[in-house]
Amino acid sequence: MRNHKITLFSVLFMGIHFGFAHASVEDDARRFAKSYARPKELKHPAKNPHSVEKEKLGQFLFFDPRISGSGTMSCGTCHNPALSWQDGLPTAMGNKGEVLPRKTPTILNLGYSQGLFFWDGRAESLEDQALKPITNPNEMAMKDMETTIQLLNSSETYRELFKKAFPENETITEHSIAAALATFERSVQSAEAPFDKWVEGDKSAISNDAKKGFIVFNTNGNCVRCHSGFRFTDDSFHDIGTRTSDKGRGGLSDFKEFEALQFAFKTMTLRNIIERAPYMHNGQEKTLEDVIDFYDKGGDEKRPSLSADIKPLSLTAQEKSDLLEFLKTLSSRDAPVVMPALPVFGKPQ
Amino acid sequence: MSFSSRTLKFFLSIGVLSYSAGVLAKEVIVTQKDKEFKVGSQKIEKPLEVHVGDTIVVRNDETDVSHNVYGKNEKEDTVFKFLIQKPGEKDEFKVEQAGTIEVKCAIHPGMKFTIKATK
Repeated sequence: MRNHKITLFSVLFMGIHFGFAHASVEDDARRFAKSYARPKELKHPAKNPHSVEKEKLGQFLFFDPRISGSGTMSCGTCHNPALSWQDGLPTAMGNKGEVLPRKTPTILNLGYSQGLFFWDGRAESLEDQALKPITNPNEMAMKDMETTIQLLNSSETYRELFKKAFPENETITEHSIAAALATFERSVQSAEAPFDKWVEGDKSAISNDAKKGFIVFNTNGNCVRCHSGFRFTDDSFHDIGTRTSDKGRGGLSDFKEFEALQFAFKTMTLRNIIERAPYMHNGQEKTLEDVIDFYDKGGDEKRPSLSADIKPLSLTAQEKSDLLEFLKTLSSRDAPVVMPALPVFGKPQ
Repeated sequence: MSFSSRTLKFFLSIGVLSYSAGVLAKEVIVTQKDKEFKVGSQKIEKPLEVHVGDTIVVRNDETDVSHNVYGKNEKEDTVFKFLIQKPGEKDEFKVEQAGTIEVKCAIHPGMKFTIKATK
């Protein structure tokens, strides 16, 4: 009888104990949740307000491989929606199949970005960014924008699409191409992930391990220092100690003398991160476990430019495992993207 | 008006002008906190109005975030650039010309504000 009492007591105690443990993890994690909520609205710039026609035109342009030097490469070739708007490669492939030095970054949720764009931040806005790959000889390699405009003008359908999207313009312009592409890019958003459901209040949307991982993310892991907010990035630039000779932002003429910007690259979003391997600007890390180990040891290269935030973390195996469980909750099941049937080109007007 | 009183008024005017110039040249303290530029506790949302001759002090009030601040005028010429500022560090520059200066942190693109300088 006494043994029974002890057993009953033990079971009750353990139940209460674990109940409290779960409650406290939930409460502890919940403290950090608020700042990760999706912004209430997506703001389009005053100079380029949204319209359905503009977004539709932008989608046509985004997936049109004919506006490239070889006629085979669209924006969507590298920013492939089937691969979370990336290409699955360590670094991008050029117009002639050459291996380029930097990985294709996703365009997911860029509409919520405060800027800047590209790994080195050389573009101030999505409009500014949108045209650069089209004429970059290593990327889409169009001869120039005049040739692009001439090509688009040769299509009656494109001319109509531009007229509907930009009724104030008589002709197709660089500006209108950029505005349409940027408007479409702003429409590319991740859907609700399990983590978002948890942020909204559904306590069972993510596991207890994932909650513990979220706490590590915000505390011992120091990840939040840069990977903050709904997109899990503050768009900041840091040398995180990757094995690279690429100067990144420090290679731009304005920043050659800025020590902190040497080998510095933009902080990437962590949305749908599990689907976006390999990782880092040069694709040097194959898995998310590798990425966690990379940060845990304080990066590979100790240079004068190394960010003060990059230092050995001494995470336990359990903390690393929990962190991984948390990162998995950032993936959403996004709706399939419909590839448009592209307009026919004819003789230039 | 006698010669002496005119002379006196002239020198008084010069004195007042000099005094005014001395009083007007001021020090404006801009802080960096929570990855925002602030004056006092308020984020700088509108152009910061200053006068030529004023000194702008830029101080890092973060607990553990470094910043790297620079400013460009409307011609995109660099007006000033500081070395990296760790928490607690400050630098300053004197406004030499009328016009606007876009001040940014080269590390955190969300941090920017405009200085509007008049004579």
